[in-house]
Amino acid sequence: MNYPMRSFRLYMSHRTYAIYVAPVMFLAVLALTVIAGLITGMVTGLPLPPEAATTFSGMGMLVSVLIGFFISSSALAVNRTFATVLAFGGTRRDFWMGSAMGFGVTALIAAVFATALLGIEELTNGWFIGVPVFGTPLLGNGDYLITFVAVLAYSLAALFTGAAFGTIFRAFGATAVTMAIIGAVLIVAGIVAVLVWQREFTIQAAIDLGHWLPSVLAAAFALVCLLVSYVTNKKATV
Amino acid sequence: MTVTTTDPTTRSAAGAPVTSTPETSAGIALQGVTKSFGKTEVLKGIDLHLKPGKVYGLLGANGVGKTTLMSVICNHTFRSSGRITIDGEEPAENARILERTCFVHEDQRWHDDYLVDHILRALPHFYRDWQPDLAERLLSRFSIPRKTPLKKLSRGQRSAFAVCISLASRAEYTFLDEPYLGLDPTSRNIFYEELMREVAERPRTILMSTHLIDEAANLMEEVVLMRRGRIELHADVDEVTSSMTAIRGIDEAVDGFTAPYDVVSSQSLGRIHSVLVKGALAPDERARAEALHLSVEKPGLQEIVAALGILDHAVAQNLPQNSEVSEAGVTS
Repeated sequence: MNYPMRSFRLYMSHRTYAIYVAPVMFLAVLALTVIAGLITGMVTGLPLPPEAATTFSGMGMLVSVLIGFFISSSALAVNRTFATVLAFGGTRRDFWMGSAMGFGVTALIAAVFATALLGIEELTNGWFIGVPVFGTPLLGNGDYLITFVAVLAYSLAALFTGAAFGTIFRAFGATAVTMAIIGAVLIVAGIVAVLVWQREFTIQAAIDLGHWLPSVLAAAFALVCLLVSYVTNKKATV
Repeated sequence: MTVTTTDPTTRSAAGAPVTSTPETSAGIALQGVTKSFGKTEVLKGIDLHLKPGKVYGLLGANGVGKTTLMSVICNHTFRSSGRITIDGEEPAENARILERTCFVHEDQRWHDDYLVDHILRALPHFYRDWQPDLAERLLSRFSIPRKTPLKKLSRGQRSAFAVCISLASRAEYTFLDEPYLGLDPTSRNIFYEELMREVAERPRTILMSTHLIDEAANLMEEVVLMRRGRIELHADVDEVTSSMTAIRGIDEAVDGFTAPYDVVSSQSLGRIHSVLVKGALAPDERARAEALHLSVEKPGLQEIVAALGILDHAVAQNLPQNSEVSEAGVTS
């Protein structure tokens, strides 16, 4: 028997969380953005002029909604399904691997759906009113590959952030989560300080990476959270 | 049989200390297992061997470590020291061993938004011998709603759901943690009936913690009595119940009759006196008791456990011992 697959199937058994939620969120954000575009168009005329369209592309609503939801859903998932997997005779290692596979599938679905919607957006010239929802700087400015990788990286980063903090809570309690958040903020602040200190290098790296920069940062963050959740999971108890 | 409640050493039904080395690697074996939460030592050197295919009752007052004991066996909680094996293998992170266990906690955490159906969809992947028909029958008999989020199930429904999973899993090592909590008498009867049927059809090791001792006594083959983080007694149920005799009647008659006996406990209700004495009564003694209009009975398991002070909180936990109880002993 492939043991991690059991945890994976438990995660996937709730299809709303595992499969449908990212597409539904994308469609909801899309609908809200189009409605906002239509309202704006009452003043500016439709399709929206480029200067008005730029304000939509800078909002990053899509990314923030996605990240917020994924953090909370994965924190809940690791907290609650951990106890379930152990009750059913699973191991911590298999639980972590199965959950990680599940998060991978959720992130992949989000990335594929976002890329497909970007295609429709391009075909309809911004949903017929010139509104960019997926062709934004954070998602690669309309580059399909960057959009796919960016959404994948953001989703994984969010899912593993939730998993890491959820697992810390499971293993060490609420105080440890607070300490971990403070620690994470200090580490990020330290990294930012180093980047500012070495600003010539930072600027050059940012120029070299171009539109890939957000994806690379998100992927690096996801990797760190993945490792934290793996190590902490070994100490978690029911 | 000797049980001296002042002596924390685990003893067998025959009176000899239970050997810490299992005779065989089959079953669950614990050697010197301890578990501390901070400075509180909950399990204090547990030596125990649970043979395969038997139903064990795990008895003791609240807080003596029953759930912790089951948790460390299944590696849900890490033991502080000692050795645990299941069929000769260390269970910690051992998927091949743990897949043969099922331990749904009394306060099991479920995902807030999961329904019964979500769990049922995943369970066949966890247990090779999962019984979907049995699960359906149990869900139906317990009237568990399928479309209600698990967090919204009542206490009794959650217990019943845990019973459904535990029985339908057919896990070779099944742990039941106070499975009757919140169940009404009808549901408890369903549980006992289904458990007996399952064990008869497919014998397996069941370790069940319970406070409803007499209700569940018929299900148990052996009892493990815990007190203050230790195994106080591990014996066959019949041996335990045969180790004492209950004598009831008018107080003067009972007191006079039992004077030469070793009295374990006594209770009075008005002029009616009920006394537990060690050992069985010889036929001529029974005849004498009947002549005095005294009732002579084999006591229930709960009565014996209570007499031993196992269910006494002051004794069971880390509090000063009740001297009356601590002096009690049982000999056969």
